[in-house]
Amino acid sequence: MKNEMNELCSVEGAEYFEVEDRAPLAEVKLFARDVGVKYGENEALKNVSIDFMEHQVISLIGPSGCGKSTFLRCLNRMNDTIEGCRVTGEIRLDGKDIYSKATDPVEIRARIGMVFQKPNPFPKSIYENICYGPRIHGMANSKADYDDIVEWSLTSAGLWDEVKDRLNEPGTGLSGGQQQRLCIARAIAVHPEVILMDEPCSALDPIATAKIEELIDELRERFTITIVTHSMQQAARISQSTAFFHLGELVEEGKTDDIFTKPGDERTEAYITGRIG
Amino acid sequence: MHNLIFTALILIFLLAIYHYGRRFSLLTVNHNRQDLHSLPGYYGLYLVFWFIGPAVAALIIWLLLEPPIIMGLLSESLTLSFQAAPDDVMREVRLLASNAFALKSATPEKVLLVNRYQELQALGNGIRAVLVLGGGVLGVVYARRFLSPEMRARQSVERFIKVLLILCSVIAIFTTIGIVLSLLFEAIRFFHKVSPAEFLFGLHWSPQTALRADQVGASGAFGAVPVFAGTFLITIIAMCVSIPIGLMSAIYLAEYATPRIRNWVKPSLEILAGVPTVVYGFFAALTVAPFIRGLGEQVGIAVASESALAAGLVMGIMIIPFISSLSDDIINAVPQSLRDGAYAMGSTKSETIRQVVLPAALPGIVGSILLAVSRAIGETMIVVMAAGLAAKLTANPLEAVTTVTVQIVTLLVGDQEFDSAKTLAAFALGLMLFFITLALNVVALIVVRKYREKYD
Ligand SMILES: Nc1ncnc2c1ncn2[C@@H]1O[C@H](COP(=O)(O)OP(=O)(O)OP(=O)(O)O)[C@@H](O)[C@H]1O
Ligand SMILES: [Mg+2]
Repeated sequence: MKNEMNELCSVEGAEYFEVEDRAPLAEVKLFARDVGVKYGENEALKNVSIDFMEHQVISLIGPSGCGKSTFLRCLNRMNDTIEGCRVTGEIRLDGKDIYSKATDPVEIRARIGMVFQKPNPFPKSIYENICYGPRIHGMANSKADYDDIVEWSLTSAGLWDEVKDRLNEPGTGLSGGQQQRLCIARAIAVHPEVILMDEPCSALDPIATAKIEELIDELRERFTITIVTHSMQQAARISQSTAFFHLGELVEEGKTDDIFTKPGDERTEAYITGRIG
Repeated sequence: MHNLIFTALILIFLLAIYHYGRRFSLLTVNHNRQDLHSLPGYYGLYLVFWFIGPAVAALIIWLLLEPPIIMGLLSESLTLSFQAAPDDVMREVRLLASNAFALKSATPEKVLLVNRYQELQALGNGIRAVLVLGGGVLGVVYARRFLSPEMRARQSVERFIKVLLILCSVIAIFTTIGIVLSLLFEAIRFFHKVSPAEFLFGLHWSPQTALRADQVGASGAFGAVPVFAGTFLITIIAMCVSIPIGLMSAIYLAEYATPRIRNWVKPSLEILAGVPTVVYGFFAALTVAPFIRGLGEQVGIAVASESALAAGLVMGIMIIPFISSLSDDIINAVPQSLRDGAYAMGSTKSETIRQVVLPAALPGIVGSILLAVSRAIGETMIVVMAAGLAAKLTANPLEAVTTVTVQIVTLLVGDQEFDSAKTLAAFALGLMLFFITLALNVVALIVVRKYREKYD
């Protein structure tokens, strides 16, 4: 399966790789070229090109309103639901254009999960929150299968021990940090290939934040992760690559260590030293 | 006529007082407005309120005192033959006094009484006018002593206005209480004649036989079960029509329609709510009922010309906008983040709506449905025109049934004595209906409020 995809990628995306001279083909999971977004007349994002490597965490940083969330939502076609939003450019998942007519956005979203800034558990029990995705995608046959999925997801999200005795209570009754981990568990329950996280820790205390950062590091073994964050320390701690956005443009992107120690652009330097944003 | 002139006079008087207060305050400071605490107009208003307050108080006191005083004076001139039942005589006298035609055929004794009554009433009117004017003038004279440049007329007027507003809301509340109490008292009188058990559990309803006391079987039957059963049958049919259609159009409007279509469709749906119920009524009676009957004939089923089905269907259509409009608002209030969460899991639009949006909106939707039900139960015009009159205990929607509201109308239309079991039954029915819709509304409000708390 994976090889097939890579072949596709090498055929369809070949020209870009020649021009850009990027990292080896095999590792590119998500691939964005010249992505631009307009909300009506307002251009929120222009010319963004990033490669998302498999089993890596990439941080998107930048001042408020620079288009990080907008870019993230392009990657799983969540922008489709916004009235008047137009996406241009090219985004490929395993080499397959996710914006082509033949692609079903529903299927894309099943493969690219998303965790939102504000925890948004469904008004259902904890158990049903996790089962929601597997149920609609028919991923299990029996109650035992679902039980396994629930336990695995909650354990992976580091929530199992806290909620195993109250799986039938409403998910909305958990604390904010627990709700956010429930949302992460819900997202990984459908075994997505990529997980997009939009400021997942912005509403959490340092302890819950540490738990989630730990979790992200573990999840990296199985998923490709993209995280938007306002915390430079967080980006430095958990991500291998970092992309800095400013006023709707991608200023620079590279290894996290490089960005934070020797930024190539003065705007990046100004931002990480706290002079803009 | 006299009253009209009197009212006009009072109004002119009030204007004069206003100007007097204004001028007076200005004179006290030699037209130096800055030396006045409040704007001159406030001093005028202050006097005006001091006129209205005592005048209204005097009026109310007189209105309470007048009837017993007139009664007392009149009973002095009652001949012995009348003294046995003074209340009945008084009622008759009052009726005769307002009906010159009937007066012609009254006995001379009564004519005498009526004349005396009319004299007393004219006297009473005069006293009333004097009291009202006197009270007001006394108030003004009393209040005038307070007028001075330092007086804080603005604050006083503010207090008067507050009292005025409180009085208005109190009036609304007391009217409601009054209506309920009068329903209650009349219903209690009814239950003296007919036992509550018979009314609540009796299966036979035929109040018409009690029209004349000398008739055979004059007691009538007041078992309300068939009447309420008819109401519920028609309500159920109406809800079967309006819940699916209303809910689905709400879902379409809230989730699928583009803003342009929504701006167009929502008001058109709400026009349905603006159609007078009489129009729905003859639509049901003249179009839908014959249509259903014709349809029944073709497949060989006997359908009554006034069927529960016809009334219920049309009532259902009338109620659609209540459900669709409220549910649309409630579905819109479900946070977008829940929808985003579901979409991000890879669910389709209809999966999102069925499994996430609707469960979240359910309490509110239930509330809107309950409001619609209480509306259907109280609906009168459609059923008067399209449902039957005969109370029949049946669950067959093709037969004619009658409803509580229809019965109340037929019991009270036309000339009635107000103490027969037949007319009093209307109050008992009304009371029951009131409690049922009240209970539904309370439940609906609680449900809706609970839902609100969850998201705000
Ligand atoms: N739904 C929308 N409709 C119209 N304009 C939008 C919408 N969402 C975002 N924008 C605009 O797009 C630009 C980028 O917004 P975006 O939410 O991507 O910023 P962000 O980088 O995520 O900021 P933050 O760090 O505050 O979350 C902003 O100028 C914003 O006004
Ligand atoms: Mg954002």
